[in-house]
Amino acid sequence: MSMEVRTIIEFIQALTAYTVCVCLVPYIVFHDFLHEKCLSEKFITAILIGNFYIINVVFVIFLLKIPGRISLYVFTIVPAVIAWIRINRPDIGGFFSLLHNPLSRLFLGEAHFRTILDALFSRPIEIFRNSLRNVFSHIRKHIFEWTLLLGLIAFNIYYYGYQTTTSYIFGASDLTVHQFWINEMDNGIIFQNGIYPFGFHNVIWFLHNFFGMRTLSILRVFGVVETLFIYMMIYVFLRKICRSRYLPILGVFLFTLPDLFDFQATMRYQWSLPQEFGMIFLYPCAYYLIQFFERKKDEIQTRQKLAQENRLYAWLFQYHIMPSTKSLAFFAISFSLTLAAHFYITIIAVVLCVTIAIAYFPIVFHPKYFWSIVLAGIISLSCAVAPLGIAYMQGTRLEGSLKWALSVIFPKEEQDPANTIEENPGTFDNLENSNYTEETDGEGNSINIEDENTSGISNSKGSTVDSQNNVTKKDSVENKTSMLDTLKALPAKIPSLAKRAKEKLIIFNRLASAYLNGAYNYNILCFYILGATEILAVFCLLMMVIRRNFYYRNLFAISIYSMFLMIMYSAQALGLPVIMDLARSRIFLAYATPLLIACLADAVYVFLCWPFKYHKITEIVPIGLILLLTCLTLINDFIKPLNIVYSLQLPGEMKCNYEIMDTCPEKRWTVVTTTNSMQTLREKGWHMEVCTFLGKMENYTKYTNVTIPTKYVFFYIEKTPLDFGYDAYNLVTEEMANSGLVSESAAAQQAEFGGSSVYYTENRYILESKLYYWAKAFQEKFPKEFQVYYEDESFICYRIIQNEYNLYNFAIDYGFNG
Amino acid sequence: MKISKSAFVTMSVTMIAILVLFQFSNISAIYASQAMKNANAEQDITITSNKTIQASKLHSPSTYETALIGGKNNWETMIAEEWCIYTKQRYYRFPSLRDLYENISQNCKLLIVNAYVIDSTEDINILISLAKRGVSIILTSLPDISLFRSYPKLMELTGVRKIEADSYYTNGMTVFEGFLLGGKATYNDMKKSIPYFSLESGTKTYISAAIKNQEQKNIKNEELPPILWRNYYGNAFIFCVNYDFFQDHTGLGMLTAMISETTGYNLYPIVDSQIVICQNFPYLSNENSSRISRQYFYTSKAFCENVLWPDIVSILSATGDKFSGMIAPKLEYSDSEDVSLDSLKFYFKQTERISGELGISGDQMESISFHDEKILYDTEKFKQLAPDYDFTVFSPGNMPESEYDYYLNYFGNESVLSNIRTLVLPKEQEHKAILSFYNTKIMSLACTNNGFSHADKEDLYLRSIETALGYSAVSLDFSRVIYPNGKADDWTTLSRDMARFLDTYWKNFRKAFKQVNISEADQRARKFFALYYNYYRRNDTISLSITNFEDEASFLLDLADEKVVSVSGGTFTKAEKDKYVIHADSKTVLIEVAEDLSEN
Repeated sequence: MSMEVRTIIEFIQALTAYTVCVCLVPYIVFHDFLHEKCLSEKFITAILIGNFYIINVVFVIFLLKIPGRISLYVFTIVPAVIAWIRINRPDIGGFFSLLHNPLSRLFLGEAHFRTILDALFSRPIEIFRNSLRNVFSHIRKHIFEWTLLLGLIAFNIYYYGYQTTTSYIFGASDLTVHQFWINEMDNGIIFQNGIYPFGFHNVIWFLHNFFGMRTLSILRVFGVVETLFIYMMIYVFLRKICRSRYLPILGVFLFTLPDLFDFQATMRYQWSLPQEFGMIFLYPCAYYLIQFFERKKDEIQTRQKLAQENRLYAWLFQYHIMPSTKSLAFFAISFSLTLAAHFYITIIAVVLCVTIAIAYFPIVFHPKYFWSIVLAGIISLSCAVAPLGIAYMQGTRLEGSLKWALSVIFPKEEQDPANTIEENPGTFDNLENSNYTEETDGEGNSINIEDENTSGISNSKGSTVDSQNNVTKKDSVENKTSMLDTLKALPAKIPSLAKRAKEKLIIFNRLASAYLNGAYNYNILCFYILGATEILAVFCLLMMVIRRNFYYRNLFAISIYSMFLMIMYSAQALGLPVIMDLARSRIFLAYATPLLIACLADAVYVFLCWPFKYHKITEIVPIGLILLLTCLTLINDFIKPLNIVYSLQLPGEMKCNYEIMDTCPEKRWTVVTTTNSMQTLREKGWHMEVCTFLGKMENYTKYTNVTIPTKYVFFYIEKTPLDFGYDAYNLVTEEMANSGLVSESAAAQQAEFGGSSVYYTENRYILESKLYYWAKAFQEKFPKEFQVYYEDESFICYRIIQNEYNLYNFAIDYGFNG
Repeated sequence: MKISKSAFVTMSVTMIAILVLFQFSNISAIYASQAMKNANAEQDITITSNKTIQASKLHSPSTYETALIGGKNNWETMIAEEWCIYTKQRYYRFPSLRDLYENISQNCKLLIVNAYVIDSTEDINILISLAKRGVSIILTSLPDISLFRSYPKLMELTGVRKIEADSYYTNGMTVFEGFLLGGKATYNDMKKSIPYFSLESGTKTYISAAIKNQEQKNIKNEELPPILWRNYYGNAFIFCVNYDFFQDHTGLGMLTAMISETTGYNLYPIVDSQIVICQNFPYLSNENSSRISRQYFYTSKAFCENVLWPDIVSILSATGDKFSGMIAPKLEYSDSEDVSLDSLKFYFKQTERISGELGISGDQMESISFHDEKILYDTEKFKQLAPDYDFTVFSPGNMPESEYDYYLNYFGNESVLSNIRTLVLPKEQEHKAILSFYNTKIMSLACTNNGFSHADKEDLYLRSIETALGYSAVSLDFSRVIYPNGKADDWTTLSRDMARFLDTYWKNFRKAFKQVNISEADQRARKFFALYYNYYRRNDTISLSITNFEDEASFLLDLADEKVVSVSGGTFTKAEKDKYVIHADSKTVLIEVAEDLSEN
């Protein structure tokens, strides 16, 4: 089976398994609770329940020190079945009594076995048929929405799945670490390198163990799976806040098709990373918080009305838990999930919640709202922190990257940003540094936004403001008497004032948008998006005064959320505390942009179509807009180009990993390679580093002895050694960034055989060259035994099968021993 | 209860019918019996020695592929020569390396040389220059240790890093998997002192010595004294044998195995025959009855018929082997005891029933043997008792060649040996070839094992011959049973040993090769000698073309981590991992192979 086909199958498996676990099963278990809700709410609720359940089940079995497949099945299935029975109260007794009659008849010889099957399966078949009917009827009614959405999903599967399908590799160096932690969970160890938000790892480990899928396979394709859910969350959240049915699709469209965002804003979605996994739960926080406000308001109004009519208790009787409380509970769950997945998501979730709180000012401080929200926050934090706290109390230390993250949020005085970045080696975030130095705005002017220049800007601004203040103070004393005259003359001055204000605003926006350079693909876009944010904020503020409607508060929340993210993005340039590094804040800003534009479009739609009462006909406007934009994108070839991949691993290497793991007996093989595949190989076999192998052969004498004690030994050699370690990358459609073909001159150079940069570009080139010539020399001596296992243009894998009772001495004089 | 007339008639008819049917099969078998005729004698010999490829056809002074160095009577060279005939290699024998060097053939790919011809720098330089030319070298024995010390180039050539000890007492040896047929084997009873070398990297050891208290001496497996290894030097492989394997045919299979190790795959013809030979059984007389009676409470004749025969038949039927009996009419020709006609008829009929074959044995148990008398006596007796039976197989046993040679080559049609086509020789008798033509007509097959014992050396010998030829002939000498010499010769012990050998040690080869009787083996050996073959490989397809093809031919395909997927123009049997027996039924055979990483 080709790797392409295998990848597609693995993607389908992972998507199905994850969807079943977080959508289908939670929906079945909570059927009575969910079946009356709208589809988007069903979807979002099921996902929250499913993920929350999976993550915590894994935490429970690990903290109870009983990890294993059986305990996983027991702790997953039993509570789910109990919950299903408790919530849905199925008539189990009735089912058995129904079964009793045909069974008796069967034993009496009066009925066939088919009768029993009919009795057993008639109800499930009916349910299944009804479900199918409902699904098709729903799709028929919403055919246009579904067509657009599925089209966009298909594009995203192609876009984000392209790299893993064609180059098969991980693409991000972080994944190796996460794979190591998940592999260690297989060995019964959670928090291998210390306490870290393990939500993502728990889900992968769950899928791996529950469905028997290989961790490697899940990690390769799960990025695409989680990205689909991330995209769906944009749609679901916009459905919650937008009036139009179709403008939420515009949001998804903007994030999917046109080439608006910098490639770094979307590249991480290709890979299975915890932060991206956590993004699934970001908008649900806002969704349920907004829903809480709406429901609470309804409840308070209904309560007042029914209390006056003395029908309050009759109304209350129908609720076991008040709907607003349920919303708050799901808000708590989603918030805790952000913390369980990644701290950065929690930071953004806090920002989002704060912006909603600002938008809902002063309602939020009403005791009936405020304390509930505070309590929910405390509960959610407790839920997320409890497993980590228990592990901490059990003696597990904090993981290093947490300290790094905290250092980014709370930098020490003496620490400069460059040092901060250096503390996180091996990740690709350093790539952003280049953007600090010099970028150009839309008009081609060079704008320096380094620290010094930034402070320069702020200083000049500050001095301007100071001088202006001094002048104003003097004027205010002198012109106090003429104030009345001025006011009288004001109507005449309005047009000129407006013009000046507009000019000032444009200048301010140009200046402010310069700080956003790099966030979007075109710097001019920064200006427009900043303008759009301001327009939306001002419009919503106005409308909030005019109409007491939560709709405008929600839009206002989105506008100030965008502003917050813009400030966060340019925090370093503005001299503000850097809560998050540039690379990550860019991702969140990009993820917020479709919300902003869709909300602005919806506000326009609401304003324009208000006289038409938002009839179906009025939806022609958003549909037309989407179609127009799609056509323009396609005609002008403005489609987002395929993203990049880091030079971490060659496709041939991953191909061989699969082949070896599939065909060779477990733990009876060793692969001599760099560290890229170490965690992958450790699942089934052994790994030896190239530097260790070659290092033993340095200063070769005839007494040098290098043996590897497994029957099968494989050697991975990069014929074109990768440009590894300095975040070298290339387009997914291009050849991996490399140092060129191995050469004798490189092999003759002195290599380093240890240290953190041993596989970095230059040394890697030398090591791979040495290994290549070693293999050639060794093959001469063992032409039958030392065979080419796999070869392509850039990679070669040799295999030798050893006599385990008399191992080969791999140490030979290959001419470049140093 | 009353039985009706019609029911009575029906029952009676049924019973009669059953009786008739049962009796009929028995009676018809008696009437149709051909037990007193030898079916093998009725067919003419189609392949005589002049139709086969023998030494004369392969001996090629100018186009040889394999060069042998050594004297004509050097035993190691003779084994190598025999191997060249079996593998159909054009070869030429040179008395010294210098002679070879002066007359080197462009086609020469292999040099088989023994220790006795290497004694100077010039010899070593010749070996080095041949290795650099890409000629693989097999040293069937190693030069004296002093020569290694004197000539460091020899150490370099053979991959010896250091001489640890001139003579080191080893406890046995381990033959590693994949070298000889039968998998990995450890022998602990082959004690011997050998030179102890430590080898350089780039060498591969196929057989290493076992030593006592290896762990206490802190010697790793890789550091054990090597017995048979390979070094890569220049552009060729140098195989070194640090043991006396080539003092008998043990070295034969090792040559094949070494050649297989030089290439990615090796395809060579084999005989594909496994024979069980019951020497001196059936026994037709009643000699030594007093001794037998004391031990078994039977007369010799009764013991053979009532104890030995049923035991042999049950063991052979359990293992699926075919019975080939070498009749001993008498074992003491000075004795007046006469051959029993009843016994003769009994064994002939029984042999026919189990589709066995009978030949004639040449053994006698007397200190002074009456060989001429025996042949004359046997001729006379069989003329009387079984006049229609023409013996085609003769197993001379301890009868000297000079005694029977006349009867086989020159005597007329009157002798019991007149129609002999197959001569079954004892194991390693006078260094005779395993398979050869005794004369134009008679094929000589040597026994390879004693079925009543299985020592380490015998096991190694068996594996080696099986590897080279896919042939083994197990000899079970029943004179030991009829003339017991102590407890070890008690039938209880011997029958257990026999069953153990056939059912355990021989089992692997039985799976791979065909169980045949002597005449069938004879036919196969003739076809084996007659054929000539060529093969080449393109990607995953090995094409084999056979000339002088006679109905069928068998080959052994030795692969490296590959398996046979399909064969067109024949069938295949998996002998063990990487080793397949190809049964060709047409002149052109296509073998499809694929990678195989399975353990077995």
